[in-house]
Formats: sequence, C-alpha cells, structure tokens
Amino acid sequence: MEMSIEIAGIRWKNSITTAAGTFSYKDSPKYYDPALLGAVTTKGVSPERWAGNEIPRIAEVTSGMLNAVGLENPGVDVYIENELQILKAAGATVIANVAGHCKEDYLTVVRKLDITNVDMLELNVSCPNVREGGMAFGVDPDAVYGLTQEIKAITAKPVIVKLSPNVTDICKIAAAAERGGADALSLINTLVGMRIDLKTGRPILANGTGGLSGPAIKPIAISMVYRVSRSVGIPIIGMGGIMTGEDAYEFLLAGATAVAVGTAALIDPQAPVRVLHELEACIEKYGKPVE
Amino acid sequence: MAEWVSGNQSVRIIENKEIASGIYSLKLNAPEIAAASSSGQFINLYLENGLNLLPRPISIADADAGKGIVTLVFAVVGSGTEIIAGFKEGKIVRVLGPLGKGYDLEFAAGRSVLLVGGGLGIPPLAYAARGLNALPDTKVTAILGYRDDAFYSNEFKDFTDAVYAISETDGAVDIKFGQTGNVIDLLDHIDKNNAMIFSCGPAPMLKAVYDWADARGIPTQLSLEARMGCGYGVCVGCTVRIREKSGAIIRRKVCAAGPVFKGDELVWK
Ligand SMILES: Cc1cc2nc3c(=O)[nH]c(=O)nc-3n(C[C@H](O)[C@H](O)[C@H](O)COP(=O)(O)OP(=O)(O)OC[C@H]3O[C@@H](n4cnc5c(N)ncnc54)[C@H](O)[C@@H]3O)c2cc1C
Ligand SMILES: Cc1cc2nc3c(=O)[nH]c(=O)nc-3n(C[C@H](O)[C@H](O)[C@H](O)COP(=O)(O)O)c2cc1C
Ligand code: FES
Repeated sequence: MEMSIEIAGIRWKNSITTAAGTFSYKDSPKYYDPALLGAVTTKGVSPERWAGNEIPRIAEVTSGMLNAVGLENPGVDVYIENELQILKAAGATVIANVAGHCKEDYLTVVRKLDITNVDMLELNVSCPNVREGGMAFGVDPDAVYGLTQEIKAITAKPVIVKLSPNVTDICKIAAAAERGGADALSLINTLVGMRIDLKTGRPILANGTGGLSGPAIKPIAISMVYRVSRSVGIPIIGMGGIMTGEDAYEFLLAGATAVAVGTAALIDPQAPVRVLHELEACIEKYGKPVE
Repeated sequence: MAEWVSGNQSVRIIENKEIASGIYSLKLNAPEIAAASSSGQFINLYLENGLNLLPRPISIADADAGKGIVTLVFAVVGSGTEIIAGFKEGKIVRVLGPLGKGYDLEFAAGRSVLLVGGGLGIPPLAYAARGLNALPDTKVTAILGYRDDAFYSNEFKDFTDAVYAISETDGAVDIKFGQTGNVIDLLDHIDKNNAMIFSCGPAPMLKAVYDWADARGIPTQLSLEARMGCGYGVCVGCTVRIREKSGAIIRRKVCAAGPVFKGDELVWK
C-alpha cells in the first residue's frame, strides 16, 4: 500500500515516527530497522551534557506512566557524532528533538545541527526552567513566536514546534508557532501529574511531579489535534497514548498528517513497526482519511 | 549490518509455585532466553492488562539452556506482582530479555567468591553459583540473609563449597554461628583470603556489604534496582552516578550498563 507522505517538504515512507525520549538506536538492542519508519525522532539534546533529575524518575499510573527524566542527555556534540550518524548510516529519516533552558541554548543546538545531515528539527518548548519570566516557553505565545522566528532565521532545516498540553488554549500557542514560521507542529507533550507513595506520604518521583503519557492521555491528545488542525494551516504530527494502528488512525481522522509512538515503545520495543502494519490494515478497512 | 533482536517473546508458564510466604517461583518455557542469558541479567515481564503498562523487571534465578527453562523468583509487593502470583501453569506471558549486564565471572575465576544475598536477592545468586562452580580453582561460599524463614537456599548446595544462612528473626533458619543477625555478622566469620564478593539484595544491605568489603580491600560486584520505564536502554529512567577511571562522574543506565556494577565505581550518597 502507498503510505508515503510529505511533511514540511520532507518525504516520509509512511506516517509513523517515534516520540522523542522513547527511542534510541545506539543505546538499545536492535529490535527493528529504523529505516522502516517514516522518520525516527530522537531524545531531546541540549548544548552540553545534562545530568537530569534524581531517581526515581518513573512511576506507573493506571493506563499510563509518569516520567521526570529531566532531559538527561550527552549534549549535542556527542549526539551528532554518535546517534545521528548511526541512524543516518542505517538509512533513517531523523528528527532531532531540541531542548534548552533558555533561548541561547536552543540557538546553540540548532546552529550545530544545521550543518549536519539531520532531516528535521523539533523544538521541545515545554521545559520549565527558562529565564524569560520564569515561565516555560511553551505556555507563552509571545515566547513561542519569538523563539520560532529566531530559530527559523538561522536554519534551513524544517522546524517542528512541539506543543505542551499544559495550557489554557493550545490553539493560541499553535497560532504563535505558525506565525513564527514553524513548518509543522507536534502535539501533545506530557501532562503534569503526580503520584504519592501511600507508605511514605511523599511523591514517588524524586522531582515531585512528572509528565503523564500513555493511553490515559489519548482522548486529550485527540481533542487537541482536532482543534489545532482546524485552526492552523501547517501539518501536525499527533501523539499521546498511541498503542495500536487504530489509535494512529484516530489521530489521522482528528487531523494529524503523521503520528508518533512513544510510551507504547517502552513496553513493546517493536511497537512503532507494529503500529505501522496495523495502520495499513486499518486504512484498508476504513479507507484513507481525507484531508 | 545490524543484528536484529527479537522484541516479541511470548512464553509459556510451566510452573508458578509459592515457595515461602508471598514468594513465588515462576518457571517459563523460554529456550531463546535460557540459551542467551548469564547470571545477573533480568527479564521484563509484562502484565498485558491495559492498566499496569510498565514492565516488571525480575532477575533470572536460573536458566537451563538444555531444557529451555528460565526460573524467576519474585515477591508479591504490589498490584503487578499480585497479578503475576495468580498466573497459572499453561498461561502465555509476554517477556523481553535477557536484559542488562550481569556478573563478571571471568574476573572471579581463581578467587574465593562470597555470594552475599539478602531476601529476594538470593535466588539470582544461585544462578551465579552454577556458573562459578564450573570455573577452575574457584571457591564459592554463599552467605544468605533472610528476614524470616529461609527459601531457595538448597539451590546453592550443589554449586558451593559452603552455605551459611542467617535470619533477622529468632530460630528461623539453620544458623551456623548461633545467633540472629544479618549478612555482615556472617561475613565477619568468613575466611577473607583471596576473596571477592557478588551481592544482590536491598539497597541498605548492598551499602553495608560495600563498606565492609571496601574497608578490607575486597572487590565487589553489586546488583542494583531502579524503577524502570523500558528496561532496555531507551527511556533514561534508571540512571545512577558512576565514577569513571578519570574521576569524572557520569550517569549510567541500571538496565543496560547494569544492573551489576563494580562497587567502587558507584557514587554512594
Ligand atoms: C533489575 C531488577 C531485578 C529485579 N529482580 C527481582 C527479583 O528477582 N525478584 C523480585 O521479587 N523482585 C525483583 N525486582 C523488583 C521488582 O521489579 C518489583 O518488586 C516489581 O516490579 C513490583 O511490581 P508491583 O506491580 O508488584 O509493585 P507496584 O509498586 O504496584 O509497581 C508499580 C511500579 O513500580 C515498579 N517497582 C515497584 N517496586 C520496584 C522495585 N523494587 N524495583 C524496581 N521497580 C519497582 C514496578 O515495576 C511498576 O512499574 C527487580 C527489580 C529490578 C530493577
Ligand atoms: C520517558 C519519556 C521521555 C520523554 N522525553 C522527551 C523529550 O526528550 N523531548 C520531548 O519533546 N518529549 C519527550 N517525551 C514526550 C513524548 O515524546 C510524547 O510527547 C508523550 O510521551 C506523549 O506520547 P505517548 O503517550 O505516546 O508517550 C518523553 C516521554 C517519555 C515517556
Ligand atoms: S529503564 Fe529505560 S533506560 Fe533503563
């Protein structure tokens, strides 16, 4: 079946990618060929090595999970030399997820990635530790607009802006990203959540709160993709709790051009490829979603 | 060309038996895993109920490559292990593994290896004993600490030169030194000549074992636990601080670089 799509000028073999932070080719046993997917999205990278939060970083909740990894990563230089080159050599289309504590961090990472063979950039603008007004970029339309514009000015790579669901009106943030020149949007990132240990009376995560992902958030993600896709003119990569091809198909119906598989891959390493095959079956059964 | 690994392993339960109060021995017909595993490694067990999504990492307590059988020993401590305790013979379960890096048996060859286990950390050491027993000139002594009654201590007999067990509660086990106590109390009575330690058990015990061994210049390999999102190296949920040879402190994944680490590379709080 013809599954290929074009998103922000880049041809993907199919509409499936991995969600940032839930995939690594270099650090994992090789469960599948990354070139089978439309693209692979790698974990957030910062200008330097980040140590992340203390453990526990993971807690289970009903039909989902909380994570508070805190973007531990080896830094963009190590990423470019290792993960990126290995993935490109394997023939994958690669989206680098970009993290930063402040605007300069994002600019530094993008400048370095701009001169590599990475295919697309995804700006993770839901980091809670930014200088501007002490508020995360992702919840402030002006900050999202300003950052997107500055990034677009320094790179020729397609820029995807990844939106946080922890906002009053996600359409406002989406519009700001589009105005700033974003080539595509991805949504949703995780929702702020907490679990408290009954024995100790304290949060299970060392960080206190964490990001909620998995099937528990899917209806929220679907509704946000549905609303945002009707309010902007740029393509959307939908994610949040996709476990099966039917879930992926539902996101396409909601208005997504492509989808990302995250938490599902943590509990089934081959989930992205399985979802792809199930999506093909779904399209055969229900037809191609019309744009 | 990359070497593809099977990420979809469905295996049959051939036995699930309570061997002590709340502690179960689970045997799986898993030839691929049995053939590939070494002591100190673990497998992910999935509940597949749509609610408890995350893997339950359980250490391999034994692997019989000939018969294709993998044995796990687990305690009921929460909702997931409670469900697993109810799994019946014949049920097909999804697992992933073997995962992680286990004990360095080569380093142990020719030494006097003290296997220091606490509670649920004991069964995986019996698998290490099996491996060590096959090495030339290697002495193997098991030092087992229980809270209450002993379990899985007989499994050491065929593969060790001596087994000592101790319990925190009165008279529960065959206590060789005539007192209740913990593994450190036992260690003080053991011959330390040419010794090294493999240890698995609760974090406070590992710390006590490390301190005891470090003070005596005895090398250790310790099996850690961490809450895991994936168990196979991608989520970065499980990292601990490691001191590199250069002195630099970096974080490494318990699920991939471990769960077994050298005691002196860990950064203790
Ligand atoms: C490498 C490794 C090997 C292990 N080997 C064994 C073993 O051989 N036998 C055994 O009985 N137990 C072992 N454990 C601990 C075992 O994984 C937990 O007891 C089990 O996951 C608890 O699940 P639950 O659903 O009953 O508890 P819940 O508290 O309901 O679980 C909620 C979540 O927390 C996680 N969790 C809870 N306790 C622990 C813990 N101590 N360590 C890691 N994650 C935890 C669970 O996996 C789950 O994701 C091991 C843990 C690790 C990391
Ligand atoms: C362990 C973990 C790590 C994550 N790391 C990142 C990250 O580095 N950058 C990012 O933009 N999103 C990150 N996310 C969010 C996911 O990419 C995704 O947006 C979210 O989990 C929802 O999708 P899911 O329900 O399919 O997991 C992470 C999620 C998880 C579970
Ligand atoms: S548990 Fe996911 S990286 Fe270790």
